[in-house]
Amino acid sequence: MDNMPLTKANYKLPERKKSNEKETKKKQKRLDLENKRLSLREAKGSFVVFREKGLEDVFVVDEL
Amino acid sequence: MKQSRNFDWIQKNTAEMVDLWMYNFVRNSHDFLNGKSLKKLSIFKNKSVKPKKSMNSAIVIGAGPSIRNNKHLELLAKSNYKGAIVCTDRMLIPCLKNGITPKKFPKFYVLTIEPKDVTLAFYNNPIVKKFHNGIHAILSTCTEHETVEVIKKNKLEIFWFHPLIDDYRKQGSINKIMNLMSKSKLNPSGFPGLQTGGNVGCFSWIFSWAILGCSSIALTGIDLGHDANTPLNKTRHYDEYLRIFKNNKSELKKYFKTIKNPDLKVKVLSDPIFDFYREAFLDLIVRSPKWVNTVNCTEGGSMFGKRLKNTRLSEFIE
Repeated sequence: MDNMPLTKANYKLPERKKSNEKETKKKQKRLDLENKRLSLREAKGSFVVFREKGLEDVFVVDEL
Repeated sequence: MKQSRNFDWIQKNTAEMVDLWMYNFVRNSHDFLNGKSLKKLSIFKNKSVKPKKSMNSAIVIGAGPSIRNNKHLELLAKSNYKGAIVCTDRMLIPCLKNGITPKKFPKFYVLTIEPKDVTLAFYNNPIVKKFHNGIHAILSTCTEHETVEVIKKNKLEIFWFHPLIDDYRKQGSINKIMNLMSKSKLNPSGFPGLQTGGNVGCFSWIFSWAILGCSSIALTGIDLGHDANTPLNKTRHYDEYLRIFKNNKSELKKYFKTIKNPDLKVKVLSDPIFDFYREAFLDLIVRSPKWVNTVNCTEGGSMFGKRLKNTRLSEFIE
């Protein structure tokens, strides 16, 4: 047994905790479902908030 | 800035209203091509004017429940306040009825950004015509046309601007096209584009410092939420949520939340739409120039955060 070469077949890999993975998958599934449901609904404000990359601090544009 | 899920949701759905904005825009074209630009009111049109702390002050009047609970209109009407009155459209008639008129407060402004027909009722009253002299109406080019007709009938002086909606640096930007269509002999460079913050309360605050140059701005009636004990069916957006959730009241309930305002030690009932406005407004306050001093005199509501000081309205107007 001691002289046995170390191969993938005889090396015992440490076991991974499967419960966490299952929990994460479940959470992600729930989040996807919630996002899908949210996107189907249509709550609206009066106007959009102007938020363009690089223009975050712009309040007034004199000449568009 | 990191945006919340509610923010993205409302922002995306609101952007779908572009059809309505354009519908109104085209119908208003005859009026704004012959109209005045908001730029006329800007103290910064004269390039030599540099903003500073000691410039004038303004009081923004929103329609939140605190304005009635705290009797702020009555308080203001009795005062000798000399600054600007920046009134959200919903509050125009209540202000005039309570004695807050352009006769007593000569720097009087009323603002509209809402594209829906709800705004018509905000101007459609004989008292508006009675006090028309001295009321400056600040209108988005996307305001409902019938509302513009009523405003004209009541003889208010109109000043136009474009609400900023997309990246005007890009080819084919809606804002860019809107402005190209707004150029006239009267306004050869069209109209200025302004951030609105998504609602007229926030826009009133922006207008106060970015156009009027006021360095000290008091917010009143900017609750962006309800008293924590308000029954859900009495809240502002209840009917909208009821429709969205197909009358499923228990599902609807999940989207309401209670916020504790640590500055005022009050609890406030909020929903995704109020959350959207609140998140944007607080972010814009932080982004405003250092010379702008924002004072929350609402004495209630969900607004608290960096660069927002809480004071009683009576102290502000002293």
